[in-house]
Amino acid sequence: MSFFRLSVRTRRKRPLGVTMLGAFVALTTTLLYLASPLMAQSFSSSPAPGMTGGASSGSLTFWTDPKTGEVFTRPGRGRVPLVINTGASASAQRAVEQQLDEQKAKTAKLAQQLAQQQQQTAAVSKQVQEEAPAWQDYLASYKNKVSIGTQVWFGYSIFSHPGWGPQYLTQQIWPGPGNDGYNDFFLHRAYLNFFFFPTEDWTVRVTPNIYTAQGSTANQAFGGNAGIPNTNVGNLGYRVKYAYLQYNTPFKNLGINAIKTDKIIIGVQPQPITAWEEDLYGYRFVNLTTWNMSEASTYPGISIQGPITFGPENLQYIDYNVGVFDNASFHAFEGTNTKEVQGRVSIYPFGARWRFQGLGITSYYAFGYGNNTPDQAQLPTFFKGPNSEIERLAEIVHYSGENWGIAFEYDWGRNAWSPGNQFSGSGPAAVFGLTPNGNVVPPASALAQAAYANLADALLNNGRSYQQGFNFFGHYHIPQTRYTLFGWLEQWNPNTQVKNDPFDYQRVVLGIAYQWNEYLRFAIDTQNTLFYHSQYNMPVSYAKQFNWVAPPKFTGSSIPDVVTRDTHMFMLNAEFVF
Amino acid sequence: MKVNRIRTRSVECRGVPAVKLAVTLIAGMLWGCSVVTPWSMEPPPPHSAYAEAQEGPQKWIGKRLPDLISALGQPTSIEPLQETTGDLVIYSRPGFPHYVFETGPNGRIVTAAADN
Repeated sequence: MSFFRLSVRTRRKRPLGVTMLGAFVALTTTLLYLASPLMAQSFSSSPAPGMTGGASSGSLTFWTDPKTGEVFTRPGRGRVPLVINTGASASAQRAVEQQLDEQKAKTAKLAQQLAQQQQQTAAVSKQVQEEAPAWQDYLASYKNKVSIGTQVWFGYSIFSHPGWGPQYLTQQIWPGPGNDGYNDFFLHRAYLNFFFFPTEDWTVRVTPNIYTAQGSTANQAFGGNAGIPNTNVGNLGYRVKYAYLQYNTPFKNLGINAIKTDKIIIGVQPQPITAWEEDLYGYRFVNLTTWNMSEASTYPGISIQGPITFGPENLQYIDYNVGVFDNASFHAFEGTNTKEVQGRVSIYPFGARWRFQGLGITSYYAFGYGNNTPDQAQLPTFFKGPNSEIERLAEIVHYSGENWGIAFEYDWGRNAWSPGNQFSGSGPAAVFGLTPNGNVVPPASALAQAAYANLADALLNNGRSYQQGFNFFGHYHIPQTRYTLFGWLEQWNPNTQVKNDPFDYQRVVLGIAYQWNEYLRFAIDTQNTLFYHSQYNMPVSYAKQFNWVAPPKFTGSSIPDVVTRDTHMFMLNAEFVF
Repeated sequence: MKVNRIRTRSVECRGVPAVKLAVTLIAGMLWGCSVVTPWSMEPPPPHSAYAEAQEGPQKWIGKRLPDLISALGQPTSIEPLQETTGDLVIYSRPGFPHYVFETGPNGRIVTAAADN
C-alpha cells in the first residue's frame, strides 16, 4: 500500500532501517493486541493487504528485490519473499485469544446484567408510580379507623318568672324568686367524641367533657374517719363523660342470627334508660328526661346490650340493655362496697324495621345504694337518708312513625329524689347550708326559709320516700317543612307518702324545632315548673312525722308558705353535631 | 292531692319587658327561618336517583351520609342519637320511597330500611 510504499521507498538504501521499522511495527502490533483488545480484535478480523495470516500467523511477509533491496507488498518478477517475524509467539497469541474470549464473556455478562438491571429499574419505577405514598396509605388507614366528632348545645334563656326548682337542662342554674327577667347565654354541652375502630370486633370511645364548675375550695370528708384535700382549686372542670371498650361481636360465632349484633361494653358508659329515652324523644338538647333529673346518664360498669331479631326480614322484636355499675356516677368517687344493677327491655310486638319503629313497650328498673362508704352506711341511724337503698322504675308505651312519635311514661321510685334534685336549678340558700343575704331576705323570712329547707330534707331525704311520675311526650314533623313541634308534659310527686306534698310539681315544655341542615338544629320553647298545690302552712306536728327538725329560734306551730312559686322561662336552643 | 288546679302567681313589673323580649325574639326567629328557607324543602333529586335506589336501601350500608344526601337530597329529618353518636335519618317525601337510615359513630350508614 501507499503507506508502506512511501515509507519503504524513503529507506530503500537503508536495510537496517527497514528491519527496525518492521520490528517497530511488530512491537506496536503486539502492544496493541495486549493493551487494546478491541483494536486487536479489529486488526484480526480485517487484516490489511500484505499481511499473511494476520494476527494468527505472528509474521509479516513482504517481497524484496535482492538486486535493488527494494521491498514490495506484492510478489513480482525477481522478487523474493521477505518474512518479518512480529515477535508474537503462539503461546502469547493463545493467551491473547483467551483474554479476548474472557473479555467477550465478561462483556456479554455485563450486557446481560445491564439488561436485567434495566428491566428491574423499569419494574421498580412502575411499582413506585403505582404505589400510594406512605403518608397517603397511613392517612387512609387512619381515616377508616378513627373518628372524631363533636356535640355542642348552646342556649339563651330568659326567665320571666324564676322560682326554685329542678333544672331544665344540664348545669342550668338561675337565681330564684325576685329575679324576673334574668337571662343568660349558656353552653350546656361541649363534647369531643373520639372513636377508634382497630378491628370490626372492637370499638373504643373516649369523650372528654369540659364543664362549668363552681364549688367549695375546702377539703372534703371521705367516709367516717378520713378526709381528702381539694385539688381542684383554680382548675377548669374537666372530666371524662364516656370512656369505654365495646366488643361488637361476642355472639357472632355462636351461629344465632337473632343476637349476632349484640355487644358487651366495659367502661364509663351510658346507663340503660337515659340515652335511649333521649333518642326516643329526640329533643334532649332542649330539656332533660325525667329520670335524668335525679340520675346521671353515665356510670362506670359493664353491660350487655343489643337487639334481638327474628324472621326473614330480621325485624327487631326486643331491644335490651342490662348492666352492673358503680353506685357513683361518672363525676363522683365510688364509696360503697356494693354495686348497682340496671336493666331495660323494649318489646316491639309487631317488629320494628328501624330503631323505635311502631309500637313499643319498654320497662326499666334499677336497684342500687346511696354512695356512702361502708363504715357510714352501717351506722344504726333510723333515717338513713342517702345511705338507703335506691330503686327506679319506668314503664313506657311508645309509638314512633316517620314524622311523629308519642309516648306515655309511668315512673316509680324509692329514695330516688333528694333535695339536691328538687332544687338542682335553683333553691333556697338554706337548703345548701347557706344563709341568705339579710338585705334581701328579712330575718323572719330567713328563719322560715331555714324551716322550709329542713322540711325539704325531712320529706325528700328520709330513707323511706317513694316517687311517682307521669309523663306524656312526643313530636310532630310538619310535612314539607323543616319544622317540628315537640312537647313534654310531666307530673312529678317527689314523695307519695306526704299528704299535699308541697314539692309536687308539673313540668310543661312546648316548642318548635327547625332543622337547618344535617348538622344544625334550632329550637324555640317555653319551659315551666308549676307547683300546683294551693299555698298552705304545714303543721309542725305533721312535719315531725318525717323527722323534721326545727331550726334554732323557730317556735312556730307550722311552717309557713311551703308551696314555692312557679318558674316560667323561654329558651332558644342550638345543637351542632358533627 | 289536687292536680287540677294550676296556680299562677302575680307577675312583677320587671317581668313584663322580659316577656315582650322573648315574644319578639321568637317571632323574629320564626320569621327569619321562614325567609331564609321557605316553608318547603328543597326540591328532591330527580326520580332517576330514587329509581336507582329501588334496588333497596341496603345498598347504602357502608356509605357515607354526605353521599346519601347527594343522591337522595335533604332528608325529611335527621336526629342525632345520644346512645351511639350516630344519626337517625328519615326520608318520607310524598310520592317517593320512604327510607330510614342509621349511621354509626364514623358517619357511615349501618342500618337501612324501607318503611312502606
